Amino acid sequence: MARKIRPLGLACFAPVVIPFAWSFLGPEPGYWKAWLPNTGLSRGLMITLVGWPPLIPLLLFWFPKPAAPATTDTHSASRKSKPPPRSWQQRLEPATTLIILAAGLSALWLLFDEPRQIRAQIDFYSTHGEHRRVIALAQDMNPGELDTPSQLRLQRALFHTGLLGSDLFRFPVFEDTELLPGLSGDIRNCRPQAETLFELGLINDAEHLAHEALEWEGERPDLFRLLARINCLKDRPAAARVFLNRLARIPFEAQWANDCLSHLETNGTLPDTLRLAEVRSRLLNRDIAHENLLPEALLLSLLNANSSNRMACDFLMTHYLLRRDLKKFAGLAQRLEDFGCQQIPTHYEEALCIYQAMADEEVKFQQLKIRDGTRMRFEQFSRLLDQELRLKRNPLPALAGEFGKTYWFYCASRQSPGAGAPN
Amino acid sequence: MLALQIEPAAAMSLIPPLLDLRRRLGCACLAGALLLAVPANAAVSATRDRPPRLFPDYAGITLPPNIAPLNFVVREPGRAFRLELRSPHADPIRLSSSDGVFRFSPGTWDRLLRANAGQSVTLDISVKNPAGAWDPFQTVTNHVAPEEIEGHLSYRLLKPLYNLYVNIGIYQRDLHTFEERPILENHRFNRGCVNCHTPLNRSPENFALNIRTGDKLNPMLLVRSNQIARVDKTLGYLAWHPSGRLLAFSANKLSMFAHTRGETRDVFDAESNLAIYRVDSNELVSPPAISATNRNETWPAWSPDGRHLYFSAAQPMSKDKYRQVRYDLVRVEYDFERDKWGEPEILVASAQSGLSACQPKVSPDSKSVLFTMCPYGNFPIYQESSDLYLLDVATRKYQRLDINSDQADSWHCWSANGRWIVFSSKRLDGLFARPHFSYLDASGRFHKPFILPQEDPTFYESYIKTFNLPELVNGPVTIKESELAGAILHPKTALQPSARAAESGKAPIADQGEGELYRRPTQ
Repeated sequence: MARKIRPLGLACFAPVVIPFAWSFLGPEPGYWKAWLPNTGLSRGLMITLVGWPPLIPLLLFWFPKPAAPATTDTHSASRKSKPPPRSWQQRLEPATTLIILAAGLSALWLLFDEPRQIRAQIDFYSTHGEHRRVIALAQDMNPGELDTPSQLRLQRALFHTGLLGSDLFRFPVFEDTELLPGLSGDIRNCRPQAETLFELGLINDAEHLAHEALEWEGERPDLFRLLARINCLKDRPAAARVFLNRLARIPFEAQWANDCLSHLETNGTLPDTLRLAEVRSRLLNRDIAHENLLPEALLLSLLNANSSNRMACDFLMTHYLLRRDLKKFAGLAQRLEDFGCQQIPTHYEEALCIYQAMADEEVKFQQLKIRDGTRMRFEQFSRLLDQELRLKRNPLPALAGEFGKTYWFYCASRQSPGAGAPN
Repeated sequence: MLALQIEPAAAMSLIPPLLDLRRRLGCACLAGALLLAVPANAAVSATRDRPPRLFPDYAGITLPPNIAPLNFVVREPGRAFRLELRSPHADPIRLSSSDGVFRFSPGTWDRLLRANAGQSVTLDISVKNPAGAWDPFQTVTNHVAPEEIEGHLSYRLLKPLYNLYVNIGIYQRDLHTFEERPILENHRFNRGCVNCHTPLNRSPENFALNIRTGDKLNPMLLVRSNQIARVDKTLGYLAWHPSGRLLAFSANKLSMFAHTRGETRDVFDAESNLAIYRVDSNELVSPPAISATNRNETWPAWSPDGRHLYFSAAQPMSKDKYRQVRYDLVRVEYDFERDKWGEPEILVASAQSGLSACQPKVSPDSKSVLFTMCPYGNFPIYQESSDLYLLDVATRKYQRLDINSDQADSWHCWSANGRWIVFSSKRLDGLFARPHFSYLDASGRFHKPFILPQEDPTFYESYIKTFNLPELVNGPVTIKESELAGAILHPKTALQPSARAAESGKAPIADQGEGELYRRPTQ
């Protein structure tokens, strides 16, 4: 009997150990975190632990039944030398087990939702500030698979990698795409927006949306970290402490939380590594009462409060691009030189080409200029567009191949070619 | 030189004292030498000249004789901690702790408080310093009031800053123990909203609460002698007439908005008025005295003698002028027998105070009114400068209470004996509202408030829900949660109130009371 239980124990033990070892030693660090993003390793392990018990009946089914008690008849000796023939049920048991196992694995495989996994990974890497990975993952997605929360994370990642002005329209973008949709649309937008709003300097709106996410998505480490930082900036260290204490209860988060708590106790604020001073310098100096997020008004106020707020400037310019408000965009473009830009980002150049062609007005920079290559491509785009229109054909299929990832195409079609069906 | 100036006889008489002095000096030197010779870690430490830092701050307070143990943690560095709680009429309680957390045995605590009602109790706390010596702190003296407080406290628990709720509920806490039980949680009725729980004369068997189901059905649950009826009418803030036959209510058009500086959230009331729900006849009436066309009325509160209805009233203004909206504190006389209303009378004029008066709550003797004042509007919990004020009805004089903090203090409630108030205060951290109690002594002085005790003294340092609308109740609500939920979803008694038009002032507006501030999310 002990011989039969041992493999059973091993079989039960293996599902616990293997994921645990894999999560630390596997080729993809944090794979399990990515699978269950931001909930911490603990949640992944917990689900694994909860998930394997259903296998027990299967395993029990697989193992042979205990042998019947030996009889005391006179032919026992001859039976020892020749085992009794197995019944048809015994012969069937391993086959049935294998079939059920195969069916289960197939069901698992079919249930595996790859786009969802990629979205979860985007969430994870965005939360951990690995923005290049976010962009790489978004590139792997098929049109229409990038949901709104992932788009918001992508936009933030593009800004942090300096690609917002040059790569945004390479990804799915719709006419109604909002950089800061607030509470409209998907409730899951709250969490990614909260981080963005915080970095912009809109800490009150960040706080509001973080609380919405806390209510809707539950207690997540990233939300507690964000709320601790927000409350510190709002000069409410005791409230920051509440969130850090809460964070400290989550396995694997205690050390970070306790380090912050002791720093808060000693210095009255959180460590410099959290770059609170940077955000503090971006805070608004006047109150704007608003029911819904007003991207233009809020971003303009941020820029007025701190003209070196590059994030506010880029987000505002992108907002104008999305709204195709090129006059306001052109008015803001000259600020790029204040930020020490060596070169105008591609989409901005493309937008300026359109503006200058339509308004017949040159946007003057001191040092920056639109590259000749961009001007030439714009001429090609214009010629192709004219040609298609002269032939009374829908110009978009012809433009999509060569110019699909340009702002020009977005202006013409009101969505980028990768946008697919709105989701 | 000294000896030359002293007479010989007199000098002789000085010899014994001089010898004595020499002996004393010698003893002192010997003692000093001994002290120096003793190892440093066994030295007797000097008494510190300050009280210890306790969390929650339970030092210098007055507590009711029927409150749960005031467990606390000593926020002082030390290797070990010990305390001695002494009182005139009970054995001392001696506890020691390695981490500074002190939890009292409920039975011992209860006996101590009961035996010492009206007496002072002292708390001596010492900490063991790194050298191994015990450092005592200044003695903390608390006072046990002779008057009890109600046995239960009901409140709504919700997270502090959201519009889209998932979990919301009304709970009751036994003040004598640490037991908290739900009265009604929203998962019982499809995650609707529940708010404005209002007991009649602090009775657990008679109360009203508002429900927002999100399906165009925003009824009120009316519980009388533990019999539930669903009243299919959306009501706002509620106030029971002490007779239990009338419910004054507000109808509000509230909307929530955000600030980019200071407090994150705010509320604007575009339009409001008051009306009366006649419980016996299931009728709604809008007397002109409380529903004027040129005024927004809200926050109704009956005086315990039933002769006056107090409320807040302001001139209607557009939303962009929200900072200019200030409410007066008003009352109207009411003759219950003849159903006659008097003329509105302004008690605290915003034009004079420069502040907005909200949430009047009349003391049990009807002689004073506890209310909140804030810079503008009628939602004081979202303004950190909101403070509690007390109005003397006879003299019309009001004063800001000393018990206020630099954070929002509001949502207050009187005990039946008029000796206790409970209110929600954000004083701990500026974000989460927590229930605090204060004692009102015979001289009219409010004593230092203390927070609702919890079994784990560090509870409030990691609790992320806010305590909304604490109401004292003189017993547990015994009606089952399932029955309340059943009355919402499948009521045995569903009442459709009829409006009595003859004496109506402004017709009741379609209420979008506080429940409408919160929405169920859609994914």
